[in-house]
Amino acid sequence: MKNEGKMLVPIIRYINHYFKNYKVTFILLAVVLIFTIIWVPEFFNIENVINVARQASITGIVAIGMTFVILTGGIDLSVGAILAVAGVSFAMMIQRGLPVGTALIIVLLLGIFMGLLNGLGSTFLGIQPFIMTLAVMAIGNGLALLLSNGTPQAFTSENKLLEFMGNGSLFGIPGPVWIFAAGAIIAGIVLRYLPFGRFVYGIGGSLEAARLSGVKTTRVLLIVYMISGLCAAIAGIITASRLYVGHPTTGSFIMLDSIAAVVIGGTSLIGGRGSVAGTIVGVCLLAMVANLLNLLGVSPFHQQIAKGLIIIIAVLFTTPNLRQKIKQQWANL
Amino acid sequence: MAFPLLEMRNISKSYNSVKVLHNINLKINSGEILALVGENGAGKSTLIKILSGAIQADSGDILLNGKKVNFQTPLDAEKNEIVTVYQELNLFPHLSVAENLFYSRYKNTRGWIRWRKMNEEAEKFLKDFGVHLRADQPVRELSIAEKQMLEIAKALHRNARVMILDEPTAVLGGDDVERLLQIVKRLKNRGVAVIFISHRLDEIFGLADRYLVLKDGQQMGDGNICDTTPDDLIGMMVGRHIRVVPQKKIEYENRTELLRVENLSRKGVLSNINFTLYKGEVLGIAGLRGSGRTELVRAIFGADPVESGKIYVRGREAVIHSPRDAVRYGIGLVPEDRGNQGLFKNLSVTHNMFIANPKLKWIHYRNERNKAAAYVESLKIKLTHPGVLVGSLSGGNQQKVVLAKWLEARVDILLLDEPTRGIDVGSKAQIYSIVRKLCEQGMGIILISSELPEILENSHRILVLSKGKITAELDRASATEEIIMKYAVGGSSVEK
Repeated sequence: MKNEGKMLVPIIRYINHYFKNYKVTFILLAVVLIFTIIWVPEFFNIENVINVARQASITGIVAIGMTFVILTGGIDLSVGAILAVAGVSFAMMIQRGLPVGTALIIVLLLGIFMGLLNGLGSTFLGIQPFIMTLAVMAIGNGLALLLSNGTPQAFTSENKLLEFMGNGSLFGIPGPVWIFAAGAIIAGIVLRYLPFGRFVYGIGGSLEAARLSGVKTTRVLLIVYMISGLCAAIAGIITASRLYVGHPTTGSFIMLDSIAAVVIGGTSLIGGRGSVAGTIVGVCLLAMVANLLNLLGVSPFHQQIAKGLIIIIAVLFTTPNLRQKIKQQWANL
Repeated sequence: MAFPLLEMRNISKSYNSVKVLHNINLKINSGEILALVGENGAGKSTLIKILSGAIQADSGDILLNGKKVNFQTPLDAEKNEIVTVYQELNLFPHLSVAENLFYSRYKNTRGWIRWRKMNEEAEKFLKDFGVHLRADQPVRELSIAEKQMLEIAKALHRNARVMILDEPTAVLGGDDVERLLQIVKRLKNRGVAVIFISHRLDEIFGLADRYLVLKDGQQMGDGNICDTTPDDLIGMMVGRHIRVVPQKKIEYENRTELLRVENLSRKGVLSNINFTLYKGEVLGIAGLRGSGRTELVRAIFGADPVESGKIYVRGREAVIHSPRDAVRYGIGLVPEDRGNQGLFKNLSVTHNMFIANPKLKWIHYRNERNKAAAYVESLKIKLTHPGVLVGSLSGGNQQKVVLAKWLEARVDILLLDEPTRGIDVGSKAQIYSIVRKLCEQGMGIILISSELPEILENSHRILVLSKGKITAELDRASATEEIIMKYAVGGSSVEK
């Protein structure tokens, strides 16, 4: 008995420690869930839940890539643009009769390449990630418009894979959710069990300390931005295959939503702290709130405001020594 | 009886249950210069941080003219006209001299800045104070001495009654020191109470009225400078003499060579460095700040570029372009700036310990927990749980985590750059006993330290660096602090 107690202590401590980091996220989720059960039970209609999940998955896939970038202390503003370029170019390749598999690979490589540009700029050229990815965002947006001549590119395909990615489902669960889940699991494993993940956190903690610990920091950063580009491209293909249209101006909200999801999930913008699990909760939270407000008949304009407030609240509660900080700011007013 | 201008009574402070100040009492009057002396880590900076409101004491009072005051922020201290001039200066490099001097209270008429008037007044104020600077010059173009004088002038301009100067002369040479000391004397004549921190005893005896000696957070003595001698002061600073146990003698015959550096050079930093490090040896590197000692180990480790020269590891030429390469050759660096370069403060102890091992392929958490526990035990790291953030540990324990990181990476050449900086006495001893054990196990260790007794105590051989050159190679038996200092200040003064 005594021994068992001893065994339990580190486990409880670990759970406590883990919970402490993501306390706010979980509390917020719990609050939203309780709220839903009481006021909007119709949310739990299977069809509705599936629909929400399908929507959330696209943001979620982008947010996975974003998690890697933010963990290193960077940011990727170009994800929306990459998503748009990916969607448009995918649609146009199918239009011109390219096999789906080939188009898929080309588009994914394109996403990786655009991520690589972000990485090269923010490592070799020393441009701050915010600026570099802002530039790539502008280039990507322009490219999407240029390719499509500013018009949505419709296409048709009988391809099963495409249908699965867009509108299909497996065992009742939509295709995008499967892809999101697979991505989240892979990302979770990479971040937790591979040295690469450890380096990502390390770079976020201190780039110089990572370099002086023998980490190939430049390589890690390049890969991180390539992952983000890849995720955005996947999300772009899914978006395109939902309506069989590649839309050149889609994706502007995705960038903000994915950053919001990562931040709500307890990942610090300074880097070094956070997890994929947190991001998943963040994505779910954002999607749920949007859907709830819809069901309650709140206008999309109000929804935007609500989203903003949620971000502020989530970040506020993760700030350590908030009270002391407020006091200090007050003194310097 | 009149109250002293400023009094600190029974000040105590602890960090992470390590007591760094024990009941310190300090008094100072207007127009007085108080020398605050003590070795590195004696508690001087903690004391002045408390006085300047940057941190708060656990117990004790601060009294101004006999009235209790409470400083929660540096602003509170400034409002009470107590100003600290830190070593790392708080000037805005891209603003002009006048802008820095008048910062946040620019000369203006109805909100419009009067540039000409401001510059004129700045120049006049500085001239009256004996500082000759152009008011419109950007501060980044000034020398360190000029910046320091500007900082002091700025404090004076804000009617400082008490000014704390944190080792203002440490980074200055010859004439600049003299100019700065003149300025300090002028402060005294204007009735400012000056708390002056310095290691240089000649300065203290030429300048100060009174002294206060700290040693390991204890007040070792205080009184009038004229009643004491430099030897007494040193005696108080060093305190109870810790018995020096020098390194065991080792035989160099047939010793395996671990690291050999040939003609290592980098323009303006290192010139023609040659030396060999043997298995089982601690090679001390002594030299003043800026002598190139940090740059030397960073160059070997691949952290800084090298212009010419060769490095041989275990007899074979090593191509080291990055720290990654160095780690693969079995070299580890414990950097000077532990907080930013040695550690990931906001990551866990385990994360820190297992990040540098180049052979790591897959992370086994249970395995790591066991290994971490083993390191915690063998290195005597004090912590509640290996999952805690490294930043929450005390300096000594943090440094042990850095050591564990390199032990886990299986390096056999360790470069230690000021491994005990800012670490309490107990942990220092522990770290050096670890160093000795490691070299007995066959590691080769390069040890850099500003504290000569540490170098003397722990090295088998000592290299002295001065201005990027090796000026002496001494063995354990023949080296003394005086000899090392002689070579460290440069060959030219030795010949005189």
